[in-house]
Amino acid sequence: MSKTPHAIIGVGGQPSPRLTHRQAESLTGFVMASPWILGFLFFVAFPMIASLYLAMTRWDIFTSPKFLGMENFEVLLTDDHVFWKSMRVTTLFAVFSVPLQIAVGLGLAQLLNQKIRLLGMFRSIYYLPSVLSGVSIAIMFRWIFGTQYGLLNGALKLLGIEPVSWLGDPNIVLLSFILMSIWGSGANMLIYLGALQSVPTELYEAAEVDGAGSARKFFKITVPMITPVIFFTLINGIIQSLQEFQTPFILTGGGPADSSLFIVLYLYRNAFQWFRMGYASAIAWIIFAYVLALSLLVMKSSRAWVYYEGSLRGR
Amino acid sequence: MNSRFTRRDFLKLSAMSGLGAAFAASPFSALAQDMVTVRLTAWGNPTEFQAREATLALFDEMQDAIDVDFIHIPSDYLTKILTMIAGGDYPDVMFLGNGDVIPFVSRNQLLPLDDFMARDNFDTSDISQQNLKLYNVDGVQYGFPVDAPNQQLFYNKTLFDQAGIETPSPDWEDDSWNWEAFLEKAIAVTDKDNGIWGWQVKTGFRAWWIWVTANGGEFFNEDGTECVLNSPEAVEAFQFLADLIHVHEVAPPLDVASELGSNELFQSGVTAMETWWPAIGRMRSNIADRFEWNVAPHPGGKAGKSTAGGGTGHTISAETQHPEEAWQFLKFLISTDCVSVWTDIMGIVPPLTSVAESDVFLKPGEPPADILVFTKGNDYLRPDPRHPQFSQARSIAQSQLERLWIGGVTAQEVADDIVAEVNRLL
Amino acid sequence: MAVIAAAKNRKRSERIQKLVVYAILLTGAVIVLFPFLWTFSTSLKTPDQVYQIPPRLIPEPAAPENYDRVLNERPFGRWMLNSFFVVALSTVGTLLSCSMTAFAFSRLRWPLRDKLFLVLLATMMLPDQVTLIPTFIIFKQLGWVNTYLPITFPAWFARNAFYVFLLRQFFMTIPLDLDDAARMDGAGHFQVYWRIILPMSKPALGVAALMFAQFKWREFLAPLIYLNRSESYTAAIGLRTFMDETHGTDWELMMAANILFMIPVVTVFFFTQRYMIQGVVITGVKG
Repeated sequence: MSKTPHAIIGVGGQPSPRLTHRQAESLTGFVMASPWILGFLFFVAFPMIASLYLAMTRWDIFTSPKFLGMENFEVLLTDDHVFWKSMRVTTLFAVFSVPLQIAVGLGLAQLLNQKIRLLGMFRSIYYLPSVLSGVSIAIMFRWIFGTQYGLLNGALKLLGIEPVSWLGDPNIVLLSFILMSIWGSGANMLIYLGALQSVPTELYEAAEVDGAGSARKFFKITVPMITPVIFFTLINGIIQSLQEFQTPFILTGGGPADSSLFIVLYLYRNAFQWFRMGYASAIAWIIFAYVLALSLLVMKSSRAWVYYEGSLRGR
Repeated sequence: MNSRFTRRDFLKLSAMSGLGAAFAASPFSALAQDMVTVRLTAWGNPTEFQAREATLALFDEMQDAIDVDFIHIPSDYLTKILTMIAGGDYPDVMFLGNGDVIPFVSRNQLLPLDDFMARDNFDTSDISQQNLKLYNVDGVQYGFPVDAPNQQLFYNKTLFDQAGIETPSPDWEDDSWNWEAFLEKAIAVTDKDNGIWGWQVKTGFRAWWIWVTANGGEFFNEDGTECVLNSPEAVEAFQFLADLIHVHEVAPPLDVASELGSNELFQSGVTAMETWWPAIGRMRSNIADRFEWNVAPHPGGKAGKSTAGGGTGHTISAETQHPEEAWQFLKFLISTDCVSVWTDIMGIVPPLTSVAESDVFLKPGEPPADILVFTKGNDYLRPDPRHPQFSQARSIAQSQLERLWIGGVTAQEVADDIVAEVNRLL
Repeated sequence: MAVIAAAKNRKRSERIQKLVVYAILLTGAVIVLFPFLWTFSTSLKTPDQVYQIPPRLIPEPAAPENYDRVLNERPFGRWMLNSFFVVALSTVGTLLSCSMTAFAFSRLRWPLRDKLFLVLLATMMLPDQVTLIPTFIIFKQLGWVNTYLPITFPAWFARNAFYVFLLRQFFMTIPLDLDDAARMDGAGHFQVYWRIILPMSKPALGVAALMFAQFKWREFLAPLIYLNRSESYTAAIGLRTFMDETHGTDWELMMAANILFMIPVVTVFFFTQRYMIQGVVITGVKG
């Protein structure tokens, strides 16, 4: 089960080492952590500072940067409707795909959390899309979503449904992305499966004595008990979905008419097609701020719905 | 549809970049000690790749001082070479579309050729002046054209004959070949029950640029400070094209087209007319004798007839370590020998008048019968707008226009949006 | 009597319930697997069959030469080798640097440790895009664009902090007595790490290696930006060159390449899925 942040960070209960070795240990600690420390300084901290500076310039890489102050942010937030469109596309996708992936993943986990035959096989099958996610899945779905020759429309035709332009209709294209993301719910399923197995069986037995049905048991015991894991997948899902790039890059390139222009795709366009590095850096910071704000919001809300062992909240 | 195009041919020709790599790693280059390696970047479909190989082999035969390392970049070409340049990995010679010359020059990325030309008394009289000019910025020459193509209207004569309709006129001065006449023919030849469409609205920039300019529209105003694609002339052209899909239903919806490969519809006999550039070599082998085809100018609008294109050329990177060798190679690329080989394989209008008038290009007896439409078309050429922000402005226009092609909005709305967005950039 | 009937009833309803569960699971499995099957089927079709209506699942005649063409007409084999190289090099780097860092964070005491660990946790939330452009410029200054260094070198500096976290969680389950005993025998900290902790953590290292290798195999944005010459592409970006907007994608080749691309991942998954799944379960439960 989940631990509170303090439990993770503290090494707790460690016998105090000999004081004479204390300095040696400190030194070794630094040295052994130095790959990460150096990596952090060079590949995270310094680029972050540089990126903040770049976000305040106009720069095409080839000529020297021109300092603009907050102009990039101003233009982005007040004047660039393509940016807003891409924010909307990304947000809409996250709002639908993240909860749906959680629901489907939870449903599958619940189904698989019982004594059934071929359990291992089902688990592996459902997890398979997560192993392959990315380019190859996107390419596969480009073929499946085809209007005339696509598998999906072929199946719909058997049901007498007219062909749908999955990737060609601006009103439908996001739905296609969401459907595709649900198809990959197996990663969540696996995480929930682990959590479900750690819910104490006594709780269910007690509930059965009280005459609770399976639906009641699911919503009154299972869900509250695994809320910390749901919380984790929610945060993780938000971070992932706001950074979606490969799939739209391959499936639609952002089209039609920017209706699947995810924000990172817009960043890529600015940075590596138009070489507007400053503007693109400003977009990156807005993405960061947005991810952070949403995560904080979810974390704040978690007090109301996430159940931690040892507390009575959430029951 | 009885004729399925053979995609097999398409790849059969292509050795693709595996060979490019082998070329770079050719053992000979290691043996010959004095050889200087000139690095060439180019994109290229399988036919272009084949033409590239043939011309490089010829260059190899002709001299032993310069070894060409051909870097083949099949997709995202501009992004890739700009990233290479940004990363300090400079190609020596770059294949560049004429519309990209201005942006490259404005960033000082191209080497001026004037000194070399003066020193060698380089004779440019055989080069098509219109096309040569495309590589000239403010009187400084930065490159030479590799071809002189212009986009024309290709039509499937067999389908016209079957429908009993007269084919479009190949005469550039024939004023009766206008938009009305075009619409009439497109409607008449469309046969939806058999999956035949009269026209295909291609979404590429040049495909609609022809219609906009034919109607008197422009992209930018004269001093390049404003986008004027929402002028009545341009809007009318956009609406005309959109109506072909949505109102007259003589052109297939975009998703149908793109699934089949938007440039394969004509070759597979699905559309009776299309806009295409004169890479006729490939067209000849792809269509073979499945149907008869020919070319004509696009119909004239309010401002008369027009065509787009201008082609591609070779330029030298300003940062090259081997300017002399790059120049020698560039001279070879515009030589009659090289252009002949290129033209023979590509079937494209050559930039040298002598080759354009020879059978290497004209290939008597082979389609299209009215091949001179291309040669004559040079007088009607409206090249891509020359503006430092053009590539970005174009991508804005392209993405907005997609809304129009998909349907549900008017050309006026879309054009206004394009103008607002592009103007913000200028 | 009534009790027996009730028990029977319950048994029957349980059986029906089971049946429903199986039906749902099977339908789901078909939905998940069918696209793969379809991909495989397309990869063996001739061009005419690709565009056949109604489509057929079993190609007739089959066209195994598609695979030949993928490997011979494009350097797909080379791209796969490039990918293997990149994956191997960066996986080794990640394992070494992350396990060493994880050791320092879990079994050694040093100033700033806990604060830095919070920083490490925070970096896991940082979108890569924020550092993308300056990192590109750093590598450009170093002259590393168009080499494999930008996509392998950072791995040797625990750039993927998640694996530090994963390994640290595992290291913390190993009793500290072991370290003390070893140190009594005169072993230094590094030897404890190398001789005791690493050998005992083989399962966790295996999981980390598998997860990272998978991630690296399909990594897209960085190779797309840093590798500009087609002969140095990795398979993930090489795949995309089969898509041709203007001339039409040769779907049968595209799908054959896609199958080739999937084979290593699926094979590894097939043989290691128990560990993998275990790994996800362990790491997923981080609150």
